[in-house]
Amino acid sequence: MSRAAEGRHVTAQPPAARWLTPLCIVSLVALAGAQILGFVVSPPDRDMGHLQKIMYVHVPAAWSSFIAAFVLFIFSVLYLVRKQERHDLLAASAAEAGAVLTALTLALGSIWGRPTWGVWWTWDPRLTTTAVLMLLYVAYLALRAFTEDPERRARWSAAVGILTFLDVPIVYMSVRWRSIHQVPSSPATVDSAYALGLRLNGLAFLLLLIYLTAQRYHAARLERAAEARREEAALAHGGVHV
Amino acid sequence: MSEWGYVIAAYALTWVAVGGYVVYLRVRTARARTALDTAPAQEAEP
Repeated sequence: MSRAAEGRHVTAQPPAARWLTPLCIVSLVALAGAQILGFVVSPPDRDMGHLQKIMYVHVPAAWSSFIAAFVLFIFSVLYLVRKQERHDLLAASAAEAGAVLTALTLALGSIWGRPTWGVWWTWDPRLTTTAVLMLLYVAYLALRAFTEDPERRARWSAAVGILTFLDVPIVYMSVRWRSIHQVPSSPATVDSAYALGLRLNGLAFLLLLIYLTAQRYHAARLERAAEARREEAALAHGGVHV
Repeated sequence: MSEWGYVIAAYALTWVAVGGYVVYLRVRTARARTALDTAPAQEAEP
């Protein structure tokens, strides 16, 4: 098999990836540390009081879900161009983490919305477009689950992956369309008393996203390698008797 | 529910979601590793 052909499939024995456990611990410790610091340094907001502290989990979760969609987009395009299985697996790994983070964003927004807006949910442009992002992630994962042919699965899911990312700019811009949602919170738009906590929690969530994607990718590679071995064994077994 | 009730609910939900997904990934990885380790044994069977 040529080197180019070998690169198209991830069936070789994956390396042990011992760095994943330290990365997991560092990510979770960073998340806990950033949250504790956010609690300690941020005073109650003039309008929302202590409810403002929900920002430290809601906003970074939303940012991470956008980054996951961007990673999904990059590897989907790479797959369509190069047809390498590792790009498909990386896209799928980012999509799963993105789906979890988008679901978390929606749930945290709902918890924040109830005491501030008086409702758990409203068909506001920001909430609706974020729900569409969630549905696109779910559609991507469902498509992968129900398509058996690996090449067709990778090609179709890459198309849905690109479509998923196209919703991100719409979600970002949606607060300008008669939305009751506040303008996007960032270190540039919030009071300096909240900027440090927001930055640190953003970094912690980014680290967590890297870990989740890497861990999921490692699991996918192991599963593929095991599947390939079983297929080889079945072929060898069949070859003896034919 | 009080202001703090919503804040605690938000942080608790975050840790349940993140922790739950991390545990799911670790278990899935361990199962995949076991499946890979046992695969050659199946191959060796007559």
